[in-house]
Amino acid sequence: MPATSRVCQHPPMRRPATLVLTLTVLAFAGVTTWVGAISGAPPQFLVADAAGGLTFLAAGTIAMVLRPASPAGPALALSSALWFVGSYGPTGQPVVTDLGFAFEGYYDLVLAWLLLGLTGGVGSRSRPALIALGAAMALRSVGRLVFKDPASLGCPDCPPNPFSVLGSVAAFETTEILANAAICGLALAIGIIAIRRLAGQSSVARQSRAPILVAGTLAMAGAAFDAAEYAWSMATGMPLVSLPEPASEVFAWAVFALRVLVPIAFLVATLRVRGRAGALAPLAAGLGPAGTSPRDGGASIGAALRATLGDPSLELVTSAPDGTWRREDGTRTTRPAGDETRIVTVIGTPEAPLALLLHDPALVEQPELLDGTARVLALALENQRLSREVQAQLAEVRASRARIVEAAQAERQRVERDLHDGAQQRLIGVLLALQQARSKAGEGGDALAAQLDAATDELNAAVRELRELARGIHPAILEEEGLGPAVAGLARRAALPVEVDVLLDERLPRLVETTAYFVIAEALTNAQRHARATEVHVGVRRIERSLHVEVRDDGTGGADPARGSGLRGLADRVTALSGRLEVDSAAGRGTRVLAEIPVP
Amino acid sequence: MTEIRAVIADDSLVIRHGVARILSDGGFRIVAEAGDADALLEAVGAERPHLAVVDIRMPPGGNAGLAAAIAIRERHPTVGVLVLSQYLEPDYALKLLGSGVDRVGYLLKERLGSADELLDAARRVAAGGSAVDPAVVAELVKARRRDDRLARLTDREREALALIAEGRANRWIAERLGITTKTLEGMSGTIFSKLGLEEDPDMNRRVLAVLLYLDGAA
Repeated sequence: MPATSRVCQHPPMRRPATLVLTLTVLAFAGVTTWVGAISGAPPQFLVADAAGGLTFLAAGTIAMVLRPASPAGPALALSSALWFVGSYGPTGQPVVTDLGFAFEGYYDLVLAWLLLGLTGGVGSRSRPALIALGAAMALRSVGRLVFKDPASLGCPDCPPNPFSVLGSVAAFETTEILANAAICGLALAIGIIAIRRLAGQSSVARQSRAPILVAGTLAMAGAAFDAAEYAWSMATGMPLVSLPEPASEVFAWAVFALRVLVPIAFLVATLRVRGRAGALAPLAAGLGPAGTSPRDGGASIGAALRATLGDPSLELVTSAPDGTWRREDGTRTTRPAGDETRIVTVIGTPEAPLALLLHDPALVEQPELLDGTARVLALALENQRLSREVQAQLAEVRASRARIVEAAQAERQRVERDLHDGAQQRLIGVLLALQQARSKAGEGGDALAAQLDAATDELNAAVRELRELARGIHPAILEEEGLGPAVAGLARRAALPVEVDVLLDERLPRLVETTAYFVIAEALTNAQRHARATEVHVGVRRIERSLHVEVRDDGTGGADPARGSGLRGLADRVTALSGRLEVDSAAGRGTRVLAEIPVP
Repeated sequence: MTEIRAVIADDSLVIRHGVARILSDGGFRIVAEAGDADALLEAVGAERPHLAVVDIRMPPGGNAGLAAAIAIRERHPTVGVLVLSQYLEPDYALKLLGSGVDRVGYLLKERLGSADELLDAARRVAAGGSAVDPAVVAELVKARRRDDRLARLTDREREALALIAEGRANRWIAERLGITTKTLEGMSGTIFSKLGLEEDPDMNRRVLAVLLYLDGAA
């Protein structure tokens, strides 16, 4: 099974850890809501608050399961827990009310970190903003914890703040105004950084991150508004935005909902990317049966990959059988290493990689897509390799078959020459000797003369038979004069009229001529012997890079190359030269033998 | 009768000597013998014989004898050329004849079994006539044709036609068929008109016309 390995930026979350984290946050949420319920918090608040917090938890859990490598899951789960911290503020329970008020809103810090992390990491320029935001929040917490005294703030019924060691209205109000103003500014700044970064991202990253980044930026706006509201009302005693009921209620819910957009957006993005795993189908289709030529295969696979993964910067480097690395266009290269803009995914096993993918690091956030792609690609490349092997073997078999036919042909020709120049010459020599003996025998020795005449006749017959035999094995005239005269001879000796139409003004390679000759000879024999034809037409044409031979008769048809060994043998001879033999022989409509023989 | 001077070319010594013996016995004077095409051309150029008897296959390879024979006919029109061949191929005969049939012959080698046949052909060629092997003519006559005008001929007319194509003299044909020369002349007129051929009084041209008709109609 091909496996993939990739550069991981974070240790992946393990399933037990996911479960423990989720259950812990869930328990915390349950306790918080229960406390709220027994404290008499309004039901609509409890429902809305629990729904908001649990949305974070749900998104975080799904992210931890589906994106174990992404920091988003734990961050969202943590945000959920932090969300419920603030829920203790309005409960009126001693201790937890003050702790809840002091430590509310920290999820905004986590969301800010997540936002910056997803837009290219918390870099040297954004880190101070994040640290400052954390510091401002901490300052606010400290102020709320140690300076706030409910009694002095005009709430005598409120439970006393057990942490208020330095209860001071002025100090509380001052830190509240300063800290919230800072939080407001920093949240806005982080939102702006995120938007600016999004504009400069690769298309892959933009595609997968845009919903989260938009939601994250809106959440930052919400955080800024909340902080501004605190600072403004603390400084002026007036609300920042005064709207009549029920508009002010709606507005408050809208600001609240801005944060919840983040987990929702994350879910949308995650599920959308998961949906893109279906995009592997066109990849598989694009890979298809390609790979006949390694160059071609490389280019088409690369294009299919770029389209499927939506990463125009993607490059495919394949491992060639000779141990070198090849680009898509087949040129040699060294084994590529990743850099800041592109990372390397190994296709196949790390010990014996089939190929390397150089791609946008953002693709790591879409592990299903990348894994699926890697597996499909590994199959395709393996298939391509096997296909190349089969092609090579096929070429070898074809070449060896052509060599066998050529050798057989050369052997026939040698036999023909030996018969003419050897055996036949000797027989002629004997004939001459007989003739001499006959002339010496004179008219006197009647018996001897008769015997010599008989021997001469016998020898003449032997010479004729030998000549026919040699011509059947390989006609010398084909070698000396070419296809036209050789076919004309076949036609003359045929037992039925043969119209010959050989249009050739050149000599062709010996094997091509010989094969064409035997196709015609065999087809003529069939027409005479089996088809009861009255007329045959033979056509020979050179059409571009092949010789077309056609033999057509008006006989009974019904010739079947699968049964007749003659036609079968012809088909073998023709295909051995990478040619094609077609026999069209419907019963009652004559026979048409068509051979296409490539001219090398 | 003046002595007929002949050159013999064959790479097989046995055959060369055999042919030389038959021709000598028949009254020819052998002025040179050659074992390959170049030696043949040289001997013919030097001796200007009445006749060159040439094996179709000779060194340096292939049908070099045929090529040399054609070259002799071009360069030395007065030299008769008789090619001895093991191939029953009318194409070779027609190629040798080219555009004229005087002083040329194409004979299958098995005719060497009969001194008379060789001598007869050699004499006809040396005398300016032609000699096409009967088997070669027979192959042309035998060929089946779509529009077969030969079918209009009687058996006797077809026999006469074959003998004309072999390059036989009228008198010889008449004798062979057991008719008078006059009758034969009438018969050949009928043959030519049945085939749609113009009758040529020149015998050699008549032979060529018949051969080309036989070859072309096939």
